[in-house]
Amino acid sequence: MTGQTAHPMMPETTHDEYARRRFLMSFKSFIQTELDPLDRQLVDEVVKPAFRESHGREARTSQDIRPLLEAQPFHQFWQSAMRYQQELMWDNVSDCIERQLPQLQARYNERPAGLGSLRLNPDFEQPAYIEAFDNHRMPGSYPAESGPDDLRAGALFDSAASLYHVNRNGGAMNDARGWKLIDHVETRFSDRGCSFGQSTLTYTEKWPDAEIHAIDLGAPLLR
Amino acid sequence: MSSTTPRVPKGAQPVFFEQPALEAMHGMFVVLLEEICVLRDRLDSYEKLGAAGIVVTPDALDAYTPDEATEKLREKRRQETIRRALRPVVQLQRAAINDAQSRYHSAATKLAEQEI
Repeated sequence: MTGQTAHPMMPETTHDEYARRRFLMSFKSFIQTELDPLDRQLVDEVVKPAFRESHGREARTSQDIRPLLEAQPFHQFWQSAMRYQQELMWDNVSDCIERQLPQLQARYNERPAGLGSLRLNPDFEQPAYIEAFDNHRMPGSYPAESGPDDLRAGALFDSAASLYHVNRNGGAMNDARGWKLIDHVETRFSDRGCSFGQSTLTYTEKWPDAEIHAIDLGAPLLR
Repeated sequence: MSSTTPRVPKGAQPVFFEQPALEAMHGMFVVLLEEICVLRDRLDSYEKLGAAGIVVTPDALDAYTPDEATEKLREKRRQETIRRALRPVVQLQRAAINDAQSRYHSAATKLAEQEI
């Protein structure tokens, strides 16, 4: 039982792993449809009037209302719920991938010829904004690797991004529909910040004769 | 699991509540809520396999794919469970709103009692 194997390098889910993904989607949906409007009401009916009373003027910026809003227990729960929903997404998907990493690794090692070429720079230094913290609260972020062939971070980002967007970002392939913005293609072009290639693969299908160079700072994503 | 596999994101760890321990407890609560929903789905799968006369084994459960009607029912059940679990949180919002409303009410009453 899977629900989202868009391509052969995606991990399969057990019954409970699938159920966890469904919970995460339900939880996020609940936060957005049920809690977001309540947070908005809190801003309009409590925070803004409180600011007006203490400052003698209307709140104009988020900086104005932020201290008052963040002191509200409901808002604290809202922020924390969003945070844990995101972290659980990574944690659950990581468990799923760890379980079948040897198989995914083997599929990568035994991949057919003619899929293109991969060139990595082992001396590449990550920029400060990647080194300092993990984007999206993804543990290890894009460049984390345990060895020269490691693709775990790529598998993790692929699977979790698909779950995050719930097929609303270009279907199961999660291709972000970037190809829709392109009305003219030269014989060769580059996809910069290609990540694990979710858009790139769609470009290769739409323009099979073009020479496409996909570039990213994450080696495990490129693998 | 590799000992080098990162499982906690690097950088500042958010603390939205006044106490870090409360933040952690909320995280634990969300995990338990998740597991309850997972167990409930698993129980439903048991019942579906049973109704179809299929012997329930771990492999049979992993192989089972719920149909659309079942997915819809499970989603409804999950939303209800989450709603019930988070009701105390919604009550916090209501308490804040009502306090604002009661202050407005008393201010409006004072104004109405003033001579024109």
